[in-house]
Amino acid sequence: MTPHPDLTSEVIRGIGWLYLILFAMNVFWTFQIGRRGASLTIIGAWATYATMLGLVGVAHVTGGAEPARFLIRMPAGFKALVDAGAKPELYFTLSIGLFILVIRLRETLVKPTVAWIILNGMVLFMALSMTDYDFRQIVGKPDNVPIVSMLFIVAFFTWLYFKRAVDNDQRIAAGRPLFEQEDNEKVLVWPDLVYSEMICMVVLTAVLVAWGIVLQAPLEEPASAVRTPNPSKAPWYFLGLQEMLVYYDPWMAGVVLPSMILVGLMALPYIDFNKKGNGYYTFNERKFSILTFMFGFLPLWIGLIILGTFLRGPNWNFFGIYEFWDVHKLEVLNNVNLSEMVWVDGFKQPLPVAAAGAEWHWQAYYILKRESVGLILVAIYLGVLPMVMAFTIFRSFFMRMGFIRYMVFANLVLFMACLPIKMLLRWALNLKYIVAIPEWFFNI
Amino acid sequence: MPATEDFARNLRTMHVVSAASAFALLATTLWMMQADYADEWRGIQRVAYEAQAQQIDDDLLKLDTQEFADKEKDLEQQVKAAKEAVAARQAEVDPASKEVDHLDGEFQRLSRELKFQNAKRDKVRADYDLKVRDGLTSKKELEPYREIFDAEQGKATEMDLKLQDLQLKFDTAKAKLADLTKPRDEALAAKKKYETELVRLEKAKEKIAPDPRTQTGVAFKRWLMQLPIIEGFNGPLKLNQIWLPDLTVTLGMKEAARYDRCITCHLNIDRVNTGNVPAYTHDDHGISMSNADEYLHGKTVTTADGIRVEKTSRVRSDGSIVGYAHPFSTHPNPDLYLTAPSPHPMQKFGCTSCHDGQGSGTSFHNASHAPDSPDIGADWHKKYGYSYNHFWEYPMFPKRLREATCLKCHHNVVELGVNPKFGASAPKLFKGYELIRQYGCFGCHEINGFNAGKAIGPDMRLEPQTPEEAERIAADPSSVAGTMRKVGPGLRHFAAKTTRGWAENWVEEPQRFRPETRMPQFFNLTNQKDSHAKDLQPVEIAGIVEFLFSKSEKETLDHWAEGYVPDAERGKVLFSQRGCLACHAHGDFPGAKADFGPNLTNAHQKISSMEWLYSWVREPTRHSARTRMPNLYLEPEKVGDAMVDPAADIAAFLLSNRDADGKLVPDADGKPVRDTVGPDKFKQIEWKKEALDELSRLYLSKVLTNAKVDETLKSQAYPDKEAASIRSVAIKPDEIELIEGPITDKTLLRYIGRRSISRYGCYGCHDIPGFEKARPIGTALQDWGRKDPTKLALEHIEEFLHHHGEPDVDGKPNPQSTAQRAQAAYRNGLNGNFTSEEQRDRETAAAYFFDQLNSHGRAGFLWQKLRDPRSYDYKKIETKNYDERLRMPKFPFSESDIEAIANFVLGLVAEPPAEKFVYRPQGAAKARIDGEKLLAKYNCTGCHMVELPEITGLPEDLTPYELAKSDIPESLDLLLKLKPPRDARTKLKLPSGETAISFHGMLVKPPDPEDDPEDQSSFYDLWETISLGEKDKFMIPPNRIEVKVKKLLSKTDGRGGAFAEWLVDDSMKGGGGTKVERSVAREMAPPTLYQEGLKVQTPWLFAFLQNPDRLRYTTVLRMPQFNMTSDEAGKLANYFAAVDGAAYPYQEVPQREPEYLSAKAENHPHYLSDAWKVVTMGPPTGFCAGCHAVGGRPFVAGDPTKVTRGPDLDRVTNRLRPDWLQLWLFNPKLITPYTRMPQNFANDKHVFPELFGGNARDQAVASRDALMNYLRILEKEGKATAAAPADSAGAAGGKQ
Repeated sequence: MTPHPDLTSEVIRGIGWLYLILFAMNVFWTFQIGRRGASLTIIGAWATYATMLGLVGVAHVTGGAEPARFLIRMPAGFKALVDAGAKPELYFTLSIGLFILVIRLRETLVKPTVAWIILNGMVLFMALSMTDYDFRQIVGKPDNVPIVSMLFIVAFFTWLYFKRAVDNDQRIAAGRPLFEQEDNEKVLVWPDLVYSEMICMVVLTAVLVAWGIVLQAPLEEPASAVRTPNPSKAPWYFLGLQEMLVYYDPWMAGVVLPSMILVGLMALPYIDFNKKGNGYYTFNERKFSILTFMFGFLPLWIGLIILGTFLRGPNWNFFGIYEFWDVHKLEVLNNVNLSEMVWVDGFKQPLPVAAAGAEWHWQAYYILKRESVGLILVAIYLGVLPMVMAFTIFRSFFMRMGFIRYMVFANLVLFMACLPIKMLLRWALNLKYIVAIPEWFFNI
Repeated sequence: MPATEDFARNLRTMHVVSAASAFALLATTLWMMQADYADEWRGIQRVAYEAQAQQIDDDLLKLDTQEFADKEKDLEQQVKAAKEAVAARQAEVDPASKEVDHLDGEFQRLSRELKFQNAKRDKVRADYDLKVRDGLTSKKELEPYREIFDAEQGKATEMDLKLQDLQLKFDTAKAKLADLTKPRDEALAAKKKYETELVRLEKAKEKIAPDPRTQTGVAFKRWLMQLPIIEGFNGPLKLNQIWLPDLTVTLGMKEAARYDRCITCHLNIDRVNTGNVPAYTHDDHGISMSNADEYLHGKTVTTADGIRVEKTSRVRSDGSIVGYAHPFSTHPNPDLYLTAPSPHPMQKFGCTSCHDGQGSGTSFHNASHAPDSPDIGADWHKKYGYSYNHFWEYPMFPKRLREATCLKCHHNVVELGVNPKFGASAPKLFKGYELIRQYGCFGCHEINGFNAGKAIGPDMRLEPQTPEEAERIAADPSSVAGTMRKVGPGLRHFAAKTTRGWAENWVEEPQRFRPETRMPQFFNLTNQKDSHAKDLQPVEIAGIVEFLFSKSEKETLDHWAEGYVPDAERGKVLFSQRGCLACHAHGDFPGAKADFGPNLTNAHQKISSMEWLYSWVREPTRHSARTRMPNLYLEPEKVGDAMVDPAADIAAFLLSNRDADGKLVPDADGKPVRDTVGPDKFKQIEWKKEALDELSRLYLSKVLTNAKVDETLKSQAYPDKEAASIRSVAIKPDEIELIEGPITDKTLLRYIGRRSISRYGCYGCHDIPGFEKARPIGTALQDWGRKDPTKLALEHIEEFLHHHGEPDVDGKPNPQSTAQRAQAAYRNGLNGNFTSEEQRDRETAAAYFFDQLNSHGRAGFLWQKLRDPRSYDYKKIETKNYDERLRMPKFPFSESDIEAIANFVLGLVAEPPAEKFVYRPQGAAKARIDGEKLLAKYNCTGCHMVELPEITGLPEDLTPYELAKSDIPESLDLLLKLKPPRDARTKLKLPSGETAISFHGMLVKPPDPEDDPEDQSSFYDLWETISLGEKDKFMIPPNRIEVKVKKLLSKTDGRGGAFAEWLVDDSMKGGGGTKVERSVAREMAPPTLYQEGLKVQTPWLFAFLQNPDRLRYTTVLRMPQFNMTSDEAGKLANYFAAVDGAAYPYQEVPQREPEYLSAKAENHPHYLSDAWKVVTMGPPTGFCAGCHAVGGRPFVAGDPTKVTRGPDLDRVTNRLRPDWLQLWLFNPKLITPYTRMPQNFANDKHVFPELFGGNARDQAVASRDALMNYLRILEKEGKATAAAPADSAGAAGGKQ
């Protein structure tokens, strides 16, 4: 009878199991730090925390009979706060901020205790959030489960990288040999590699089969060309691309930019002139390339996947993680083209239009005239800016790379930058297109 | 080889991990197989087979009686004895048997040889033919081959002869042997026959549940074949499906073949026993998945003497047998569905074509079952993990809406409500259809049954409103004109009828004036309670009335004769007798409850002009061309010496002054007086000038700029340019009201009125001048059943129902909201706390629809839309313009009405299946449907009874009819031919255990309440011929049947004729002045149209319906003239013939054929002349002429106690069918028990000794022939001249 039950007994029990797993993990952790000789106060604190988790878990598993009165849930105030801040610009800014923070604090973050506390925080946040109906609807969807696990996996591998890199950087700074050199144990293809791989293959197959049985694929409506689902989402790994469609014309977001990503990735070995960092983890020795790659991968690719999966709802509107996906929610989406800004707002005159029935070259002339500012800006961005950069910030790069290699590199960087730039322009100026020539299906 | 002996990982550990992972993979693979094998349908099938086996056990148990065993033993003995008897003659049997064997062997050998020989012959014939092909044409060349053929053919013939010889010998020997062993063979056959059922059951059992002890092999095989993996190779448990390539389902705009796998779990759904009785009776509390174990295996109990397994008894404490719940039961209506002889055989129609749901799903959830209420859904969730599958577009319809899908194929709907064979098979849907028809939903919401000329569903559209439109449709072969009339009265001459004050009051809230009106309410609804609406609404109302009055066309009104004083008292009697009460109710006649037309008690408060009322009742079509009110022939007539003008009297009666309770307020003399104030007492509504301006500005701003609006209102003139463009367009916008002359408040008001009529769509129901070309304003409904639920404007309905939604109680807001009501129903449903079935149904329905609404389902939306259409404006009016507010009016529907309408509207899917599945009746079936629609359209059943009451019980006397001395023997044959006897025995039992019978008849004497209750009985006249199972024994009319009240099981009211019945009672009480007997009263009332098709000739009925002349002189009223087309008259005439299986539209009258007449004349010269004499002979010897005008001689009134004027006989020749007439002449009471026409041709009386040898039968036949050749004889014989002194006539029982 209640279509959106905030909590049900089953959900409470499920969350209980999550707490119990966390409890078991922390018991293990407590023993580990105990063995490593931590002080009694710290062991005691962890033990107390673990015990509390255990109790909370048991309370969940046994005490869910009356969901309406259940107390341990995400505070409504917090949820309201999160939802109120649910805007793409804030999300993107925060993700950039987080990215910078991670880089900055890398030496602290790689400490096991800090990492463990972050992991605990993530799981606790999950568990508490699960008490919210709308959060459950999105996160609990069977096809979103891999994305949730991806969050943890990406976090883990990023952490692993930094741990190794920080270690090596410290070793280099102290003049000690690298971890990879010190631990230089060559292993055999057989049995060490092939055998392990086979085992992995078998285990992975077993996991996939079990997954397939436990998490049934949801049955959705029959496909229909005239009635697409709302929201219509791409497969999860393409959600980053789909997000670009918000800011760019399909031919840019769907053709040019993805091609640039592929070409760019292929070109990397030929562009890279830094001989360091070969065969070992490091951050300090390859700062530029690693930052560039990480910026493209974490905030721009993974970040946008998360945004597309969890935060984009019906009508491609932006929803808070605790917000009901109401199809009736409206957002103001009035954007203007650069040409309108120039002609209408700047020159206070109408857009140049060819007379009705004018010949094609006159039409082309007027179109080009209309979009001249945008075209010039694009030309400057792609044509002039690399040269400017070559003599300023990328001076040393330019010197070492030579003209062609440098131009390829600079253009790739500029192409990557064009997404955040367009985002900023959209948010700040409601800019729709820099160059808008719908007549020729050409918009930037 | 490895470069070093050191491995990175310990190889032993690796092996262990590898082994573990391999085992894990194996385990998950097995798990996968198990998960697949554990599909719920397998478990269900297992239980279903067990239940089947148990049913077989039960049947076997029935055979397991001492009696059966004894008989079996007896037969066994007989077999033994016979075997011994044969054995005694073994000496003879043995050689005979040997001989048979020998001959059999010989025969077989020879047959084989012949076969070979024939093959050889065929080969050489082919060789011969090949030679011909190869060009060997000369005789010489071919001769050798032909010789070979001849030789082989000769051999074959010889062998064939031998074989025939042998056959003969063989047969003789066999016969000889059979003769010897005859006693044994016969005894064995008898035993086998006796055990057939046993063997059948045992075989059936062996197939599904073989006994491992006795049928070890079969049992093992069945066990083996059910094992996982192995069962994939044609195991006994399997998915069953019906493949329906032609009955497609639309998936994502594509038509896909339908696969129905429902029968995988509903295994017994089509199992019937002999007589089409469900083999597994449905019982909601019967054996189901949750309790099957107890019934099939029992539970282990520990008793004093040990542990025992106890099966739950299948006999309940009240003696009833526990049946089967879903999915084990058989369909409850095998006559109509699933079985091969039914109209919807399962293999042809599948399941989901009617029930919807996902046919290809094989789990409870995937099948998209639908609970009838949320509490059932919760129960299902617990038991079967049910949850609503939001994505399947065709979830099963719940029980309360399941009739909706009938509409896909049954576009006529009527056959689902009135059906001679299956009764009302979809009563709710039919009710919904009737409601839509009566309330005229199609006036605003078009229900177009055609798409590009192709029938897609029921067609309910308004008829063409202008001659041009009708012409255009007629000219276009791909379009079909609508047939529905606007349901409200025409308002073209509105001003002649009432006052503005009354009209404004009515428009504001019709039910205030007439609580039972069907007119919906447009104002004072939930979205008009704010102060803004309070100001604007009066302007709209006043505007509408101003428009209607100012546009009202002039109507010429009649006036009764100068000096005539209308008599209201006489008017009251005439009102009751002239048929007004067949359609209208009136407070003075509380017993008559017709609601076809409005209740007229308050007519005096509405109608301002008596002349108008006088003209209206005399000639309704003058006021409204498409009215359904018929012309009742209320012409002034002479009664005694005085002229009486019934129309004026009735008008005077209706306009008499009454008090608030509807009681007459008489003058000092006690006479009714005219209500002189009438509708003038209704004050005109008050409105504010500012409101008028605001509304005018609002509407004008839609067509003019604000500056122009200001200018227009200031200058009081519509801008010239815009006015010119209005003049130039064909379909005028509402602003046409403003372009002529100065714009005053009055013109503005009229403009607002026109705008409001456009906005509220008043013209959907009423004929309004200026709106002839206007289109319906509402959403078309023909495919509403498939409307995308995301397109439903639900707005804040959930929030509204959370706080409101239930109607006020005694004028105060209901403290309970709909959400609370639904929650309460949900809880009560879960806990079984309802006090009655009726309450359960009502409340769970509310919970169901509320739940549907919350899940954004169509059914829920519709439900609330009809309950409170404007509630969807909750908290929306604040942000809307006034003219954007919702405008659907509120209809006086009950919740059960709404459910019925939901059944209909949800069934409108515009997805007709392949043509062969659509029900397209032809011939009589079509005629019936067309006729039924017209019966309803013109309320024929208001006056006429078309089906007699059916009485079920046990009469006191069931003696079959014996031919009386006076009966002409042929009369019985003819009666049985016209009315074949019906077996009257029913399956119902009286409390005493006796079998009840049912018959159609009419009440002649109700039980006397003074009598001892034990002895109270009612008497009925039997109208049909019935048999009680014995051959050649019948009960026939007019048998008067006594049924004691305690032996009466049920009695229906028949169909129609409520007014006739009322009039009979009224006349018996003296309502017409004098009290009369029941039979006389019946003759005064509209006749029963029972088996009318057998009686009248269809062409005559066709003409009569269009222009009914006066037929009967006994009735107090005349058949009125209906406002029907000739097409409709034809359909109605055909209907009556089709119902009774009579020939139509044309009938043969063999009595007019020369062959017939010359054959008659051969035996009887001057046959027709003599026959004419029988008919026309005046009294004292003749009798027809006593009561009827015949042969040109007019009826002469005589002593009214003895003579009743019958219909004139000149019509008979065209009106009556010969067989019916013959039977009527033989004995009229065989047809109409209450008639006062006597049996004139009695077998034992010789009425005309000089004619036809005094033979009554021949005279009766001659009379019929004379009447059938009426005009021909009249031409020849001339008018009958002798006047009949009617009071000495031999009719009316005078002679008997």
